[in-house]
Amino acid sequence: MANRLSVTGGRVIISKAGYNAEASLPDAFKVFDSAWGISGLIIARGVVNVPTDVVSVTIPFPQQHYVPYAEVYGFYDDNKTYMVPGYCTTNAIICGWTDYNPGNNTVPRIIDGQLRYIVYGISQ
Amino acid sequence: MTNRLRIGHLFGQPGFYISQPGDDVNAPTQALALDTRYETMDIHHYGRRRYNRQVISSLNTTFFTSFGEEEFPALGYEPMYMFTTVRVSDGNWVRYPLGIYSTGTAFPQNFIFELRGNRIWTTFEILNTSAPVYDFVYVIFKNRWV
Repeated sequence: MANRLSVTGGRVIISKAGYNAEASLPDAFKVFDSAWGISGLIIARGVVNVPTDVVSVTIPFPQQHYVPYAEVYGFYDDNKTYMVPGYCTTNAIICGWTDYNPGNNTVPRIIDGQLRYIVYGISQ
Repeated sequence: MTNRLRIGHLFGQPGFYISQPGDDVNAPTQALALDTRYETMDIHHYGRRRYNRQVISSLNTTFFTSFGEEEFPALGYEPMYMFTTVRVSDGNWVRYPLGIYSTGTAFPQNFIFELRGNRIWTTFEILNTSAPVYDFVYVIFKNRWV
């Protein structure tokens, strides 16, 4: 049975099933290595419903000690997706746009009133 | 030497915390490498495809359109995902953000990504027929949207 956890010399490595956790193990066979800068943390995710025809939406998330990286997707026509531009603070995404709308490039708005968002545990 | 591992209370909550290299876990300034208060993204499936490009002539403009369909092992729920394009020439640039409309530019735009069951459909346009080739890249995660 593989030894999947290694804590040595200030470094923590967790391997995938079937592989021994050790410093020489290729990254592809690791679940986690503290030598990596990031590990796919998700601070927040979810769906917000907002009134249609708005151009700016604020999505709060738990306060962080840094400004994380975030993405917001808009949905329309039953699961088609587009990305919504915006910016992030330490506790909220402020998203909206000024000149883009699939199928209609002159009237900015949220097409069906639903946004899905992800806040990654990544420092900017 | 910087303390990077803490098992116990941090931010008022018990947990397992590891900071990034060079960042003090007791007073971190960067995102943590591991923070058990939160879930982590787990990759289910990913791929990179080069779709054919069709030249479309519409009104006063001529542009490329690319579209394709991919299949992945079903999860039984709507998973989180990430998608983008990679510019094949010039060292595999990744173009971000997608979808900003700009006439005449050589970047993918009007990007539509649709996920349903175990399939995804994608279309995007490039409003400049001298643009280089772009590959479609996608990642399907095990994580749920909600």
